[in-house]
Amino acid sequence: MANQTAKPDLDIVSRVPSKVWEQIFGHLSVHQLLEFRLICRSWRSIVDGCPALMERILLKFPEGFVLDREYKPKYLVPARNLSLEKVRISTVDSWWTTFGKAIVDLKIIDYSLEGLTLDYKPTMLKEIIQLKQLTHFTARTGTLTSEELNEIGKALPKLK
Amino acid sequence: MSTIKLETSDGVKFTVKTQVAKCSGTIRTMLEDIGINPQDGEAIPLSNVHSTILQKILVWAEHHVDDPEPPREDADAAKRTDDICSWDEDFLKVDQRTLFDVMLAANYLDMKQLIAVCCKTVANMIKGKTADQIRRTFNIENDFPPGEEDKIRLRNQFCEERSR
Repeated sequence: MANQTAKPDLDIVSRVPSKVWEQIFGHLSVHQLLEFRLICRSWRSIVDGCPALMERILLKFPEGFVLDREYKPKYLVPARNLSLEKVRISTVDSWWTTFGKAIVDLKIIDYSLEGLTLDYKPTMLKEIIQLKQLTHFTARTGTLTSEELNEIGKALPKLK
Repeated sequence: MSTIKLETSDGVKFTVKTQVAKCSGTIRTMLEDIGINPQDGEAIPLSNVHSTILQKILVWAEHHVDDPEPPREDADAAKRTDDICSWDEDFLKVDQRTLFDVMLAANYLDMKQLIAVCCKTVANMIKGKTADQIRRTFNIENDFPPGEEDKIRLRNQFCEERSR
């Protein structure tokens, strides 16, 4: 019997357009947004699919995290701000192409590269076509060379 | 005073002051752009709104009809949910189903201020609740396969609020 009284509500929640959910979610903290991703598939896709919400989230890989060919970011939050600080990058696989497209702010600081060819930086960075802000620094090699900057700048028109 | 007729999904006709009806962007468009002429006595069909909900919405519109255009809020001010006026707060003290029906109808009728206040009310219902509590509040089914919720939770841990 409990089911019968419950049903209309289930129906009405699913009828709310994602645009309205986005407005509701806009009032809530990032912590709460992340909680919504756990509720059901449709709420997760509303949160993940809303650029304004994703822009409020910074995805920060933990220190010493290894990005290699084995890494499969199946449940990764498609945040639009990414920080790779002291992360070990050996390669980014095809997932980067999709993930990188949405990023507007990227920080790569004191990372270490393992077995990468020299052209990785432009290649990896060129995928991030929405990028507006880039912080790039390593203790070992310093900032990017002007040649690299030039090449990246050409690929990323929105970069300030 | 000029009035127009509105007809709801269940066939009920309402005679409404034109000025009040124009709180709805949808009705405004019908009158101004599409050129529906209410002087003909023909009712404007609102096929997505039930009479019980329209009645409620008209009470809201009547109360707010003389409100000035709201100022453009900056992003932080817009996030607030504690600035609902007490009249609206009382107006939305209804069961969950009615609240959602009003919100959906406001969306269909394009009434931005009413949508905003409904969204804030729903946000307040969600605030501070865990995923499980929210599912129970809105009777949402968890459709993730077993174990998936934990995997998502793990990935969530990498995330924080972006500092400005």
